[in-house]
Amino acid sequence: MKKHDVLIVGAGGAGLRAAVAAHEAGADVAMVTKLHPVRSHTGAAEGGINAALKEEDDWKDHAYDTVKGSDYIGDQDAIETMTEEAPKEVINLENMGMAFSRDENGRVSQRAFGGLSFPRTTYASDKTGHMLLHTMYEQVMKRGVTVYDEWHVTNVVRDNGKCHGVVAYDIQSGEMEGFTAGATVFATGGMGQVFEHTTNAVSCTGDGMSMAYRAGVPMEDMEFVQFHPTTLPSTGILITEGCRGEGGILYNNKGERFMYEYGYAPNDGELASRDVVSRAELTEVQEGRGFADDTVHLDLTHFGEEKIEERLSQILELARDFEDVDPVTEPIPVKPGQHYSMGGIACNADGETELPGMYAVGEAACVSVHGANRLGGNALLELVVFGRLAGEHAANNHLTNVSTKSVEEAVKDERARIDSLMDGTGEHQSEIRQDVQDIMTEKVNVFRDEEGLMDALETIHEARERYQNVNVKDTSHTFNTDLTQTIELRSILDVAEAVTLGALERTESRGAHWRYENQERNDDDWLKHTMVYHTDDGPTVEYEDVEIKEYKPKARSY
Amino acid sequence: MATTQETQRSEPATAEGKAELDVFRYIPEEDDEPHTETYEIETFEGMTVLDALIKIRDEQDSSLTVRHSCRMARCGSDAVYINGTQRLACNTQVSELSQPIDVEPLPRFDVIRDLVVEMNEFYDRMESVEPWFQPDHEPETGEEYLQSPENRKNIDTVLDCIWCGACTSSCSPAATDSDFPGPAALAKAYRFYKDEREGEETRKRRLEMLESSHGIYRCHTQFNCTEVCPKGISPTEAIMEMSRDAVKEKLRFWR
Ligand SMILES: Cc1cc2nc3c(=O)[nH]c(=O)nc-3n(C[C@H](O)[C@H](O)[C@H](O)COP(=O)(O)OP(=O)(O)OC[C@H]3O[C@@H](n4cnc5c(N)ncnc54)[C@H](O)[C@@H]3O)c2cc1C
Ligand code: FES
Repeated sequence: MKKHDVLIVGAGGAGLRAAVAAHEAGADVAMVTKLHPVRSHTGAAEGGINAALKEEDDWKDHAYDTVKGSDYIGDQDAIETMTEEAPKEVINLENMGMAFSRDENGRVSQRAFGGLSFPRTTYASDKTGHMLLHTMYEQVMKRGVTVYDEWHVTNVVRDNGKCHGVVAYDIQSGEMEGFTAGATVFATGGMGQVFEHTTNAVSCTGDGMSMAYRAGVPMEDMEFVQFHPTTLPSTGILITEGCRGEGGILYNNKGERFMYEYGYAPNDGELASRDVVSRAELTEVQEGRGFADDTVHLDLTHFGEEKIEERLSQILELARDFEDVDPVTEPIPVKPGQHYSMGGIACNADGETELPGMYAVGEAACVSVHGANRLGGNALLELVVFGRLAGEHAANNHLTNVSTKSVEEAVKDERARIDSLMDGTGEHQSEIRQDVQDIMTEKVNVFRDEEGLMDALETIHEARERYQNVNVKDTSHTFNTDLTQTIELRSILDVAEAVTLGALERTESRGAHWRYENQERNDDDWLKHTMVYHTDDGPTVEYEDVEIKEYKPKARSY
Repeated sequence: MATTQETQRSEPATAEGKAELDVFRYIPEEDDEPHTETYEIETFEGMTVLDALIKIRDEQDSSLTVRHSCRMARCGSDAVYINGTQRLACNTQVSELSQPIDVEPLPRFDVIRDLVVEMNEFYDRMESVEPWFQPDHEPETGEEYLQSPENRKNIDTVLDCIWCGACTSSCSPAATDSDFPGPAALAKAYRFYKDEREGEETRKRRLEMLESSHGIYRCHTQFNCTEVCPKGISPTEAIMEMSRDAVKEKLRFWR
């Protein structure tokens, strides 16, 4: 049994920032993570992190851009907190040594990003996430925070209406152990593996969302899934929005700059919000103006090699190594792919959930600042702003009456559940997982309709039935990834169901959620958050009001 | 046929034929000794060694284990020994390799299981160089530290390290002296050593620390690490530069 005041589950940017804050606030803090911290998917973030740093810029403009980007369903109090704190947090990253790119005066550089009225995306070449992740881990090492790495958390311990900690599986030894904590912060990242074509790592399986949900905390706004307009067709690898921020151009097969030509975004063109560009691309493909593999072309050839090398070097490497395309001399074929979950574990700006003692932060959480569509550069920002707030709040308010006994009981139950996955015969997880990923990418994608969503729900329900009889073939207790993937599959099923159900119920189009039958936004009926609760008989849906302050909903155009 | 959860993502444009892989296998509870297992698979255009391993795992043998996560040469999880060289499985094309493709865990690391090695010693080496920012002054602007674009460029050469361990696995001095930080950790040290934001005092202190008997002079300048780095980093050059600086520093002292 391990015991700490504050336990952070997950060691990406959000978890690491929370750990540093909790440590600075004087708490005994530890981290538990299924990947070593530097393997976390925050490292994959390319483009940058937003903050109104310049004198000519104003955090209120950043707030407005974010509200508009969210299609008015982001909570404006939380958005104000994030954008107002942004300059301080980004400078704090710099002060911790993060290697931002520099302008000629030696100040941190900023560039244009989609949906922003000012070039306020602060970047470190096209490896901003890598630099952020490593900088934050350096700070955790410096402070000597305990990190239990390669421990897979499987369950939240809920008893007497509060959270007592978690149960985790030691991937290297196969042991299960309880972690008792007065505050448990879930920073488990995204859920891209619910879809087939995604920019997310194989570890992004929505575990935290599923565990919180099963502990009685709702998943909020899960139907809002961001599909990034520029991913490589064969692998789903991301080509950063920074390419368009630097002047990259999108063409259809007639050589037309379709964002302007067909009126998708007459003002902002390629730099319109992501949902707008993704829909435009797929419309081009559907109308016969696309290229092979349902792609359009992203052209950077006018930049010249030097500029690409300097500002987008990773893109060169990725396009060459993974798509066999040289961006210096030829356009990159791109198509939309699952990228980010706007929804997540319902929580407030301090990370508190409905369950006392349990917090959420980062992509796993829904504060909500992204609403129906996240702006590029706002996710990394969310990690550090709310990571700090959650870490501080957890350190100052952790429960003192948590019970090791409840945790011990939970360990026994989890041991039995895991053992039951490993005995007997049954279907292998990979087949079930593939069927769910396929149907999600086919029917719960950029364009959605009622019939498709119903089909998807049916496939998910069947997959649940099949999961009852799932079997792990590998019987070893050492680094058994067959087992961990089977555990993850349950998370994928929970999340897939919440996404699809939320999408089916929401009969309007807003941000990233687009319905064939209802192509307009409907503020009269749908200016509200979807809350999906777990019950033994399946999910139930409730709704909550959106926090609206200064910015009243109006038509959104780019 | 069993479908695969990750390889299917790379829909085969054309089935390009077959590949044979000889994979190092070892499961401690089951095997007294490691052995080699041969697998034959159908390949597709653009297939990487990681794709191939996952395909084997999903279709033939679910017990085959390799650490991996990002699939895009970023997380540094899947450095392995392919046809006698340390490489990332996820950015190595099957079509570029001679067959049968030999896949083994990183040499000079203890094997936990199959292709998964013990990384803790590597992490300890990284930590031994105090790899965190240690400025000896407040920023001049009161907000951010200023850094010239040229200085930022200097450290760019090593900033991309993903801690995969390929270099350390290729380094013979690191194998014989566990107190020698090895190429990855010394490249990390260089990242701070060269960063002008830290200030002169810290720079000197770092150099002294690195000069210890198990430090920079242990490097045999064989460039093995440089050759295998999947990110094009040259730890050797970083180490050589710090060694030259250390020597110069001494001369100045004696003069
Ligand atoms: C390719 C790509 C590019 C992006 N570019 C940008 C960008 O330019 N700007 C921007 O603002 N945003 C960007 N984003 C989004 C942003 O990077 C992510 O939303 C963010 O990094 C998520 O961070 P996190 O800390 O919440 O999760 P992660 O970094 O994914 O970390 C999750 C952590 O949780 C742990 N974990 C998960 N499940 C368990 C479990 N069951 N038990 C124990 N531990 C667990 C993992 O080990 C990991 O440490 C990008 C995303 C992608 C995929
Ligand atoms: S899987 Fe991440 S580096 Fe290869």
